[in-house]
Amino acid sequence: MAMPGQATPGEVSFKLVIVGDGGTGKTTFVKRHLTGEFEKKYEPTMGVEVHPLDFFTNCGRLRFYCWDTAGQEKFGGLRDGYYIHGQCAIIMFDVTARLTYKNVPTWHRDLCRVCENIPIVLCGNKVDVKNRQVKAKQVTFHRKKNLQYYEISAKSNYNFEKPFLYLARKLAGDANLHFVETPALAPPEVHIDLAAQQLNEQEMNNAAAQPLPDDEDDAFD
Amino acid sequence: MADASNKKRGALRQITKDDRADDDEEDASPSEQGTFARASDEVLATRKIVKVRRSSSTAAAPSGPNLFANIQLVAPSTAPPVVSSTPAPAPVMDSPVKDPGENAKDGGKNANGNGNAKEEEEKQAKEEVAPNENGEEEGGNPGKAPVAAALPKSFDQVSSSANAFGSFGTAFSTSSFSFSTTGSSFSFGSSPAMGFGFFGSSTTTTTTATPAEGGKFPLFGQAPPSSGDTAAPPSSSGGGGGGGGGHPTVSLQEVPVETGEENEKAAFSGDGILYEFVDKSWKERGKGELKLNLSEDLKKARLVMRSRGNLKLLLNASLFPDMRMSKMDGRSVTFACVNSAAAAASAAKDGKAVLTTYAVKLRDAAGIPEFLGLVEAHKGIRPAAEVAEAAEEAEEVAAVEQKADDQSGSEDAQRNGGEEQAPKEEQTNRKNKVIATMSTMSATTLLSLPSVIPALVVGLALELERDPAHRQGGRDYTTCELAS
Repeated sequence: MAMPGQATPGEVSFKLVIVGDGGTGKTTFVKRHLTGEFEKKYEPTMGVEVHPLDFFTNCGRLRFYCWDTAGQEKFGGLRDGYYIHGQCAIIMFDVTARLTYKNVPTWHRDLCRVCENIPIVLCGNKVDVKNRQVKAKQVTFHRKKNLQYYEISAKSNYNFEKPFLYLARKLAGDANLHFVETPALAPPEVHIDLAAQQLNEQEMNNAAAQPLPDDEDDAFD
Repeated sequence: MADASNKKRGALRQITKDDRADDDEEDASPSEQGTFARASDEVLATRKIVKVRRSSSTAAAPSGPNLFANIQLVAPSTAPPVVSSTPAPAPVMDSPVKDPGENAKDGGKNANGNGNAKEEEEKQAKEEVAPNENGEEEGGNPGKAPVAAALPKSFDQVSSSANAFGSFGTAFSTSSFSFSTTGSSFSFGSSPAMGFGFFGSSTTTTTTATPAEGGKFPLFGQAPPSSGDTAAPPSSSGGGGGGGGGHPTVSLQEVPVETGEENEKAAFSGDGILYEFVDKSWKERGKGELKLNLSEDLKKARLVMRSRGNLKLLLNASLFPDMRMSKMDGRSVTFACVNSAAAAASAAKDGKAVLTTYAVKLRDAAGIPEFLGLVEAHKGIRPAAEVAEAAEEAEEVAAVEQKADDQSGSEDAQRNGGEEQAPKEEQTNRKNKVIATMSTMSATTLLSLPSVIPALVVGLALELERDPAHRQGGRDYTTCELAS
């Protein structure tokens, strides 16, 4: 019986299950890692979306297959059917909505029914918001369940890599594991033909005319 | 409901499939019991923890050969000395099964008898508190084996089949309750087929140790199937498998780290945000450090940008001779390039390199002129015929630079109030640096065409004098007048 993530040599991958109430920012968080963009629009996830996320560490490349599950019950699909063989998990709540934190025990219980004894990170998202409803002090659930807790912001990227780092360390049993630079191989020589360039010229002019999205405070950190 | 899909859902009601009362009960019940208090970790570490399962059919148990159906044995992983002194510790039984005489014998044989009884009580109390939460509770309890949940069932199975447990079962029912005589054959931990050690003691013949809480136990996590095959029935949801929360799932070797930039040096670096122009709008691609890297022989130049935090590659693009880079509003520049990092990420559309428009918003607006200048200077080695153009372009750069300097200077002035003087000096310094780099860069090609040099020099001279006319050059560098 081959466990997922141990099948092919050379590739180390894990199944990561992300759960939490609807609108807490699970999909946005995954997208932020995947493409770098910050999606403001809310589109509820239907069932589940699976995305591979690669990280380079001092122990080679790790891949997390992120199972980004639906938070809204009406779109839940198979629900805990998605959890099977999960090797690690993130439980997300929204620090600006108290109920999402109140539901964390339910998510945790459902998760643990299927995946016993996997490393789990509790994430309080949206900490960039000024008036939050769940203060850091009020978050205590992780203590009695032996989870790791991180305050994160998918918007400002605050701590956004920490959950993955923690899980990677736990899964590898190596507290010194850390992310390293993705190798930047020399890009191929580019030969741009005139047509392509003219096409791009057009686009560049369009682009230059459009202002860059302005994040109010331009969160550089 | 109609607006629920296009608006962020309000925090009114979310999880309804489970009764919230369950959780309340779970939280509240320990205090209702009032008698059970969890000992501290140090105390628990010295205790032998035995788990007893309440049986539904206790009457049948003592008479049948499968006597251990009701009995659950859990190994105390943190009490090896006790185990080593008694080759086969007595299994602790459910209260209906146990009779005083046996108990006495038990106590006589096993010095730990009282301790067991106490533990048993504690376990029972715990079980009443959380009857269906064994797996969950185990995570936090030191000394308890994660496989415990799977144990009773497997014991059922195993004891009914022909193996060490079967023989023990008969011995138990026929002979007197003597553990020492069967001790040699009745060795839980030494049965490799079980896949896990009952005792967790390295002093006995245990081949597969019981995972100790918090301890290193890579084997367990690595080879879950070995325990899953024999011990855990499929219904037990992998009680022994899957690698524990505290146990590594894989073991990884440290590998040498290569950034791919070993033979390069960064001519420019600055914090910024990268945007890509997709579908007629800008999409953020990440925040991090933007670098302009030059190969050691100065033949190649590329832009490299990595995300802060996860250090992912955002931008990896060679400069090319016809590359256009222009300043946008504020502190941003826009350019077109072939981004290898993105192509790799999106599996290369049609396998063809496509020009994509990017923009970088720099944290420090003052770095923009320098950056633009360096990019212009290192766009590529050109054929000699184009050197004249290069000279013109150098002037254009100078113009843009000056314009940018003016802008950034005024920005700085606004920001810094009284510190107007300092930025100007800084600008001049920076400009001189840029010019120095540019001239060294093109020196090799220019030497073959001496006639071009004066033109360039004139350009530079004008630049150095900060010619007012020059300063009024067009807002866009493509339209700016050349001072010649």
